[in-house]
Parts: sequence; C-alpha cells; structure tokens
Amino acid sequence: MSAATSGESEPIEDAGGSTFAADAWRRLRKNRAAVASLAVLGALLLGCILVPALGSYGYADTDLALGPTPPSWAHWMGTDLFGRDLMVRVFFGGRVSFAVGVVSTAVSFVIGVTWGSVAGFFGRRIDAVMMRIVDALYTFPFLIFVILLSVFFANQGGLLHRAFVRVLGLFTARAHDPSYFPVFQIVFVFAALGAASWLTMARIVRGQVIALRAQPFVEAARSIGATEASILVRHVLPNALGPIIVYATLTVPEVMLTEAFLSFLGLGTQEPLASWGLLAASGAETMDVYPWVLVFPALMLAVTLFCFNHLGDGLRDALDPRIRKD
Amino acid sequence: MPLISVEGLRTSFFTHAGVVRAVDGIDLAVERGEVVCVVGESGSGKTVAALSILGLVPDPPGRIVGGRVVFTDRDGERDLVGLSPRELRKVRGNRIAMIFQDPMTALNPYLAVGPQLTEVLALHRGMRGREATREAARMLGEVGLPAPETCLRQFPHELSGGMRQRVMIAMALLCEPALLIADEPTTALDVTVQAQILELILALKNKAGLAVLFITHDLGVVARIADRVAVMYAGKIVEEGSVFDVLERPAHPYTAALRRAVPSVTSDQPMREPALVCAAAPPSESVAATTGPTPLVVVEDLAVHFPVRGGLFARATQTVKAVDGVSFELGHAETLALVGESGCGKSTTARALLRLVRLSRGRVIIDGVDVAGLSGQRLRRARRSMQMIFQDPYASLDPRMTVLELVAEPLLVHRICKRTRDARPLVAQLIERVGLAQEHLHRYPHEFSGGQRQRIGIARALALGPKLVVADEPVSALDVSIRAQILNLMSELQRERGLSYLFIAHDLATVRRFADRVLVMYLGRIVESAPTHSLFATPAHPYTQALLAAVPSVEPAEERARRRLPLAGEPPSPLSVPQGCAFHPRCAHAFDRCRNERPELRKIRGSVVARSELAGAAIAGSVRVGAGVAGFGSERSQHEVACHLDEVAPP
Repeated sequence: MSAATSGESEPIEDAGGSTFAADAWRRLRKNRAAVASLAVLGALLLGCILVPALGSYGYADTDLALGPTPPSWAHWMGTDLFGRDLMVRVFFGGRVSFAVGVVSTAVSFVIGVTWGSVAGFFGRRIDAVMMRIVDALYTFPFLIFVILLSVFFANQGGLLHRAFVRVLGLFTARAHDPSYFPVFQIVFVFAALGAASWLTMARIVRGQVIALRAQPFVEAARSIGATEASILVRHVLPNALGPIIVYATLTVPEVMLTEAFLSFLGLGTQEPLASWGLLAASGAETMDVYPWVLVFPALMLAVTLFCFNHLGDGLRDALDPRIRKD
Repeated sequence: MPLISVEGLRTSFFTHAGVVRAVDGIDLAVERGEVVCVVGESGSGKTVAALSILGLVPDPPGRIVGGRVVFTDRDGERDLVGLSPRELRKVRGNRIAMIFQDPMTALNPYLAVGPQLTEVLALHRGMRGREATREAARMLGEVGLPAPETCLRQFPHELSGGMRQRVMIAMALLCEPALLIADEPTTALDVTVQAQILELILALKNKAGLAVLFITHDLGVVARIADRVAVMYAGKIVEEGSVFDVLERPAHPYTAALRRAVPSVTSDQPMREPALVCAAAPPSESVAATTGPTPLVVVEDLAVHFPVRGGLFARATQTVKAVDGVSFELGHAETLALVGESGCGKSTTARALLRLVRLSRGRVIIDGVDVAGLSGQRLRRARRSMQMIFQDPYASLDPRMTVLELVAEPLLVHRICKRTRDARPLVAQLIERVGLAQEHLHRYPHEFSGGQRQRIGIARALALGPKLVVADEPVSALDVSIRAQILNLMSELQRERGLSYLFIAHDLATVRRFADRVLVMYLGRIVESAPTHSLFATPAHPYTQALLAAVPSVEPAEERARRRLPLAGEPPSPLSVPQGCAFHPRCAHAFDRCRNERPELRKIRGSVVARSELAGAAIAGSVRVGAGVAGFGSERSQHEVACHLDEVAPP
C-alpha cells in the first residue's frame, strides 16, 4: 500500500511516544499565562504554609498598645486594629481560603459531575427524576438553609457537632477539646458550600453529555462491545472536560466569596482564626481610615481568582489534543 | 468580452504555521449563458477561488494578494478586487449570486421562507408588500416548487434538502443576476434530487442566459452540465478546456487520474490504473463465493419502528416504520450492498443488524447465533464477530484518544489484552496492514487526513477478527482518488480474511464495482434484490431504473445523448407511507392494483415493461447477458423484484 499512503500522506511533526498526561503537560507549558498563574498560585500556597510557621509573630498575637500601623519594615503589611501582624494573618487566612476553595470545589465537582453525567447519559426517566431533584434544590434558599443548619445543628454541642466529635474521636483523644470547635465550623463550611454549588455543575455536565451522547464515536464504542459505564467514563466525560474545568475554576472564587459572606455573618471562620474573606470584611469597616487592612487581603483574593481563571483556560486547552499552540 | 474574467488571482492565508497559497495565480473566464465547472478535490482551492471572486474570503487570515477579477456588466467594466466593501455589496447578490452546499446553514432557521425572499427583494429591487410576495411566489414556481404559496409560509426545517436548495436558487435568482456561483450545490443531495437540480440549472441557463460558475468534485455532474471545465490542483488550474476535450482526452496526468478514479454505473470497463483502481473481483467470479452451504447472516422479517412522541406527557402518537419487514441473506466472503435514497432505512437496517437500535420484530442470525434476543454479556461476546466501519471518519473516532488507544480499545473491552501496552504489537500489525506506519500510533485523529482516518476506523473494526463488517457509506466523505484506495484496501482484506461486507451506499457507481449483490430499499422495504451485474444490466423495478438514470456518467457525449427521466418529487415521509406499493405516487407506470395492493418480493419473471427503453441505450446492450445470468446459481443469486408490473408482463 505504499503507493496509496504516499498519495495522502501529510507532514506531521511529533514528539514521539507519550501518554495523554505528558502530552497535556507539554501543551500546558506552552501557554505562558497558565504557567505564570501556576507559578503565582504555587508561590502563594508556599507562602501560606511557611509565613505563619516561620514568621516572628503569631496570627493571634495582639499588641493593643501598637494598634493599627501602616506597612513598615517591622510589619510589611502593617498591623490591624488589635496590633496583630497583618502579613501573618493574611497568609494564615490563605490556608483557610485555599482549603475552602479547593475542597468545596472538589466536593461540588464530584457530586455535580456524577449526578449530571448519569442523568444526561442514561436519559429518559432517570434524567427526568434526577433533574427534577436538582430543580427542587434550586428553589431552596441555600444560604438560609446553611444558616439554619449552623444555628441549630452545627452549634457547640449540636447534632452535627456531636457527630463530628464522635468521628474525630476515633482518631484523636483531643477531639472533645473545645478548641477544636472552630475546626469543625470550617469543615462544616466546606461541606455546606460544596453541597450548595454542585447544582449548576450538574446542569452543565448534563448538557454536555447529552450533546456528546449523540456523537458517532459513542456509537462506534458501543459497536465494539464497550459497556455503557465505560463509554461514559472513557469517551463521554473526557470530551466534556473543557466546560467542566472552566466552570470548576469559576467555582473556586465563588465559594471563597461565599465563605467570606458566611464568616461576615459569624457562621464560617471565627476570630481569631482568619480567612481572606473575613479579613477583607473586617478591613472594609475601617477602609476610610486604615485602607491597608482591606487592601492586602483583597489583593490576595483578587490575584488568586485571576490566576485560577487563567489556569482553567490553560487546562481546558491543554486537555484538548485538537488545539495546538505551535 | 466575457462576463467575468479572472486574471492571475492569488489568495493566501496567513496562519501562524506559515503562508498557505490557497489560490495561486488562476485565470478563468465565464461567458454569458455558459456553465463553467471548476473541478478538484478538497483542498485544491476551488471554494476559495469562488469566495475570492465575491470578496468573501475571511480576512484575517485570508487575503487576495494579487490579480484582477474583471466583471463586465451593463454598467461597464469593473475590477472586483479593488472595490470598496460598499460597492462590492451592490454587486454581490445583485449581479452575482451564490448558492452553497448546505442550504440549511444559508437560510435563517427562525424565519419563514417568504420573509427571507421578500427581504432580498426590498433590499435590491425596492419591492415591498404584496408586490414582493407575488414576485417571491412567482420565483418559487419558476424553480419548480409545487406549491409556492404554501412554501412561503414554511420554515426551512419543514422543507426537504432538495426543496431548500430550490429555495436558495430562487433567492439567488430574485435579483436577476448575470452570474450564479454554485459551490457544490448538489453534494448533500440524493442522486435523484441532484438530477432535478441540475436540470433546473440547465433550464435557467438556456432560458435566461444565466452564466454559471459551478464548483464540484463530481465528474459526472461536470459531464452533465458543463460547457467548459477548469481542473484545479494545489491552487492552480492544471487543465482547462471544453468539457469534451477535458473529460474524453485529458491532457494533464492529474485529470486523467481523477477521470480513471471515477467508477461508472454503465460499464465495468474504464478502470485499469493499478494505483487508483478497485481490485474487486469481477462479478462473474464472485458468484461462486456467494453459493456457500450456509449463509453467514440470515435476516428474517426485520422491522424497526420508532415512536414519534408529541403532545402532553410525550406519549407516542405516531410510529415511523423506518424498516418494515426486511429479509435477506449474506454469504461468507460476500459483499452485499444496500442502496436507496436518504431516509429509505438502509442505515437503520445495518444498525439493527449490529443491535445498535432496538428491533421491533424479526430475527437476525449471524454465524448461527440469533443476535436479536441477546443482551448483556452475551451480546457483547456476539459483537466480536460483527463490526462496523462508519461513514464519518471525523466524528466516529474519539478525538481524545491516540491511534494506539483507539485500535486497542476493542481488545481491552473484550479482555484480549489487559493493558494498552500489551496490545501494542497487535495494534502495530493492524495499523501497518491498513497502510499506516508505526510512528502514527501516538498521534491523535485530527492529525490525519480523511482517508487515513478511515484506515484507522478499518483497523479498529478488524481488531477483533470479525466475520461480518458493516460499512455505512465508508467512502462517501472522502475524495474520489482516496475512495478507490480505501475500497481497494477493503477488497484486499476481504480476500485475506474472508470478510463479509454489508455495504451501504448511495453512490451506485461505487456499488457496481464493489458489491456482489445489491438490495434496493424504498421506504423501509426491499423493492429489488439481484446480483450486481444483473441489477445494473436489467434493472427491474421502476425505482431502480430511475435511480440508475439519475446518476450522471463521466462521458459527456454519452451523458448528453441519454434520455433522462428524472424521478419526480422526493420520497414521501415514512410517517405516511402510501397505500399499496409505496412507490406508486412517483411511478410513471402505476395502475390501479399498485394503489391498493402491496407487491411482494418474488423471483423475476420476464421483462418489466420495455426495460431497455427505460434504462437507456447504454444499458440496453447488455440486457441479454443479464437475463441469462439471472436464473443461475443458488437462491441468493436470483434476481427478485417487488413490482406488479413484473406479474402482468408476459413471461
């Protein structure tokens, strides 16, 4: 067939054998904005781990005599109303915000993708029932639900708290220590936010899956004898990845902001713990007098969200072998 | 002075991969009342050339970098290349109109046909209100739409492909243009409808003196309508001349190769070029292959009905009988073709065989196993012996998988190999067999050309060592020269591995070269079943005769001499299949019995009407040969037809 192939051969440059992940990584590295975002996020994350651990101030160490001071050599980001070093607090708050953003998004990702893809792929009755449940949940004022939950069940000694203590008690005897209560509250916020934001994800995934389900390559897979589950996992979901990733990266800032709102209401992270949302909220009260107390946490939040968006764009392109940036 | 004269036109695309010279210095002229065809394969630059004339090349990345397009009209001579966008708009649609391959995308799906036509009239001719409506209706009548007033109120999706293309032509003609540019206007249509549209364009040319620049890849279409032909290859015109000169005595090797790559419906003769020719065994030899003791596939009374849901609670209100009682057999190493217009149920039949759609009724026995009743694990096991090659090599390969993963997938699914890595030696062997190289294993489908992708699809279908391969229009998405290569490969594989093919096609010329036996389907039923040579020599059913008559031949002289009976209208909706013989509303010979009683498929008795008269002089010569063979061999090599005419004819 040499004559035949030469007739339609086309020049293809190629790096040779490589896996899908390696290919995707190669494509991601070519996207400068994504690489820069990845570097910034990495640096921020490292800062969040190191600064509170190595800094000369504790995140809760107050110095009421000092009070609020603008940025100086001693306090690079200044101090807040209670004379606490803002830089340590900002990076400490970053730990909480990052954790909320990433963990809640992961929760919403897992629930949303599973729910949406099952509904979209199997269609008919299953789809109708599953999506009516989503519709019903949409009508729920979720924030109020979270607030009610945390007031009645997630309070100290409440039902959810007791369950949490029991589970944690299996691992550490210190679970009953009241100082663990704030940790419980943050975990509760992760779970509540994840559970609140999977609905839109489910809708997006379902739409994608319905469109892809009709593609000939799905029928081709069926004709070779692939099972429905493997078609969904191996063919449909990878092709739906683009919009899923973009939406996931949009969810990260959304949950960070919601966490800030909950904290502001006194339901999420509590003083003296910190999160970017909480810091920004308290900074906003005095921004006309001590602007730096607002500016630094807000700046961190903004940079992080910006980077997540660019990273999401880059990932979407990198995971699609059809897009080549040569 | 020609109406339009293209001089040294060059259009380039400036991409980040470099400059692509899509049109690289072409000279072309169209006189008034002349049809000039531009022929070439995909990527030859023929469409870009047409878009350049109208200044419609997307910019960026495209730009006209040189040459002139001189349009000589009643307002005098103008160079279209230098015109401002505003002046160009006045020419476009007004003096030069264009129609496209896919009329659905060119019509606004949210507007009824009427407003779309009157908008053109208001814009270019200042006609409004009732006057515009009357003019629009007149034009729809002119292009052969049966009920113009109804059509004005219909939306594009309510019209069939052929009707939409007529609407597009009507829209193009509303401003009485001097030149019509048609870019593959019949490629998406059935042969029968294509024949109607070509007749319409010829009639317009003769009546109104319209000049037509017709872009196509189909040499048969060229032979039918062209006065002059320009053959494009890699952005250049490699040959130009009268249609007789170019097609009968091609001077350029590329034209000659293109010409030879086209199979003919009317003869087996003119394809000898080894590289481009299909090596299928001649029909007389392959009859032996079909007479094996037991057939591989037996289909009995197969039916596939789809419910049409509507109304409240999505109840099934109507039933589409896509396939309605089809029975046939397919022998070992035999190729059986299923032909018919779109919507006749040929693809559904094939997909029902592979259990890709739910069967409503019937038995499908493949290699001794009734697959109609299987499910779960047993169905999956049965799938190993039946595989499919898909029509669209672009959409049927998962874009996120490498060639290795794609071809290894069947092996993994059936646990023949545990990991992709283990499958590699097998996959490499398959890939080399279908004409690709080992280096291709780690590339993605989008990096390959259409023909190469179809090779990947074939390798994937062969991975499990099937006995039956269903090929659903495997070459219709490919260029002519690539088609021959893929069909060659399929024949070689058939001889090597004893594959049986169920070959679905609407291209009758390909069927003639490739198939041993042919089933003609019309509205979910088989109307004629015959060995290939017998069917083409003595088509018995009036529908088969019309199908054959609609295929244009590449011989211009023969094409023009042929008496044509274009099949009127289009197949009725499968929602309301006519009483009696489903074909009777379009049949010229229908009598009372046809309207009331449905004919059954039976062995052919005598000559149906004067078959030679219907099928044309070229076919008439071989009638005796075909009739002689019709009664020969086993049951499966019989010529059967479902038509009352056959019964009234003397035996």
